[in-house]
Amino acid sequence: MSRSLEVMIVEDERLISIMLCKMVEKLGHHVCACASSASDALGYLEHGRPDIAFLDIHLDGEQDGISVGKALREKHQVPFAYASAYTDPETRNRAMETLPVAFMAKPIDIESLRKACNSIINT
Amino acid sequence: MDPPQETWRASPGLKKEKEADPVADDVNAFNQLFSELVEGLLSSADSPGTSADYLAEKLRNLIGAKTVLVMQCPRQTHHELHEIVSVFPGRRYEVGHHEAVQELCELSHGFDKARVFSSEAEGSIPAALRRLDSGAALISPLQTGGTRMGVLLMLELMDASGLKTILDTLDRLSTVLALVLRNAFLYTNLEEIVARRTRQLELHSEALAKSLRERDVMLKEVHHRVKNNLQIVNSLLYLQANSSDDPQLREALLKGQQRILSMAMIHEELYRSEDLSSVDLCAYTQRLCDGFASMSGDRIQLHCQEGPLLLPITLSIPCGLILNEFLTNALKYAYAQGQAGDIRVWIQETGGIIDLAVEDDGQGLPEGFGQGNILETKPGSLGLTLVQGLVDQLKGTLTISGSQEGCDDRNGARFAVSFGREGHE
Repeated sequence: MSRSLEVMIVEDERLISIMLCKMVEKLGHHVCACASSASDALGYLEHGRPDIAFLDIHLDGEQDGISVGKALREKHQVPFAYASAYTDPETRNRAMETLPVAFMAKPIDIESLRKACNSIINT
Repeated sequence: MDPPQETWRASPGLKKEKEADPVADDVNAFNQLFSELVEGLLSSADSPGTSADYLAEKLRNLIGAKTVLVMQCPRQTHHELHEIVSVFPGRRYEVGHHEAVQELCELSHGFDKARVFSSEAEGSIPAALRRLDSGAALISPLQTGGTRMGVLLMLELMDASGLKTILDTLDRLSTVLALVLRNAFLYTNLEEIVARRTRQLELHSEALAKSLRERDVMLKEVHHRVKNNLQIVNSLLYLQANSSDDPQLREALLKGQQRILSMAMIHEELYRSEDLSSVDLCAYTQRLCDGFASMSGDRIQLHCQEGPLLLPITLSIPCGLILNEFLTNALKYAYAQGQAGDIRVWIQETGGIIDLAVEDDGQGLPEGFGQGNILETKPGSLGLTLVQGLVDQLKGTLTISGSQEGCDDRNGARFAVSFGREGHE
């Protein structure tokens, strides 16, 4: 069994969030936090430190997932991957500027999550 | 309108004087000049102002008048007043704005030939000439083909007595100038029509582009929402499958989830496509195969044609579902537990015929499978029912071939679909 990761899920659609949690657990990792808004996610990061975060781009509240990605990169040095249905070039380019480990287009399958987690374990 | 007053032609006294002293040499000289003048007029025909300037200057020098004016008829310009085309000499330009000039222009309506007037006679035209401090004047209509384009006014003639013999020549010159003005008017009119039409087309085109942008935004939003909803359905099936202890139920739910996923991927490709209406089947299949990676390892080899194979949504959804069924089937049945082997996916379009195939080197087909009615060879198989239905929808053909299970000569199985693009677009 490879290393188990502490994973943060940031997703405003509850059903998708639950599915992502189940998939992460199925891969042998632990979900340390589930947030539906950027402010919730950033609040958690004040005291918690996940190994990786999966971020939706469209979130509850005014801030989007890219602002969380920016904070993860610049303030917390936590690797993260986007999981979004917004895959248009403009959004994608804006997201890629924050240097995620992956940009996963919804629908998300367990393989994409596995690859993203493995990229952290293998570094 | 007043009848023409005291024209040179109508004056017997003057006529007699001219007959007594013919100016044949002058006429000949003027006629010789005529061709030169016409040539000069036509050489600048693309600029009616220049043509008029040319004629006004030449006539002033030839005939002798204080001011020569070329005025354009308001019917042609759609303005209220006659407009100045040319005034010679230029320093007397203001004369063109005198109200008496407008009156002379108006009074010349109905003239069909050039006429000479004395300012000392009775009537409206001499009265207008007096207001202009002009002596005798020549008024020549500029008309062609019955259309009045304007009028040529030569005010304060130096010597009105010798003009009779050149009036016909003047009429002909006036006709040429009228033609130049008419062409210019038609050209200007045409330019205005073209400019107006161009503007209309530009506005129409802008509206169309705006409408297309709105359509794109809406289509994008629709694909986005469909994709999101399919992701939620996908999540529900996944969660349901994981909460079940019944292996058969779990498998059925996961198969359903995979089918939904294969459809959602089509919408993802549509969302990413430039025209929002076609899917590159090769790119889609690559993504579909990647999704099977945990089940397949690296066993699936994708053989696609070079370049994209673009299909509309009506064809891409059935193709996606068929490929999903073929791949699921191959991964489950081609190789016995613990065995490994290749699975090849072929995608090719040749002359409007699209061929999809999934083949393996596995244990082959169950006895009787793939012969006759496919649905009867394995009754109750939802996968086969779906494939046959989708192939019918594509108006295509399904071909299943391979060795029979248990034979020594094992060469695997091949599931292929072929359909024409025609009739679907």
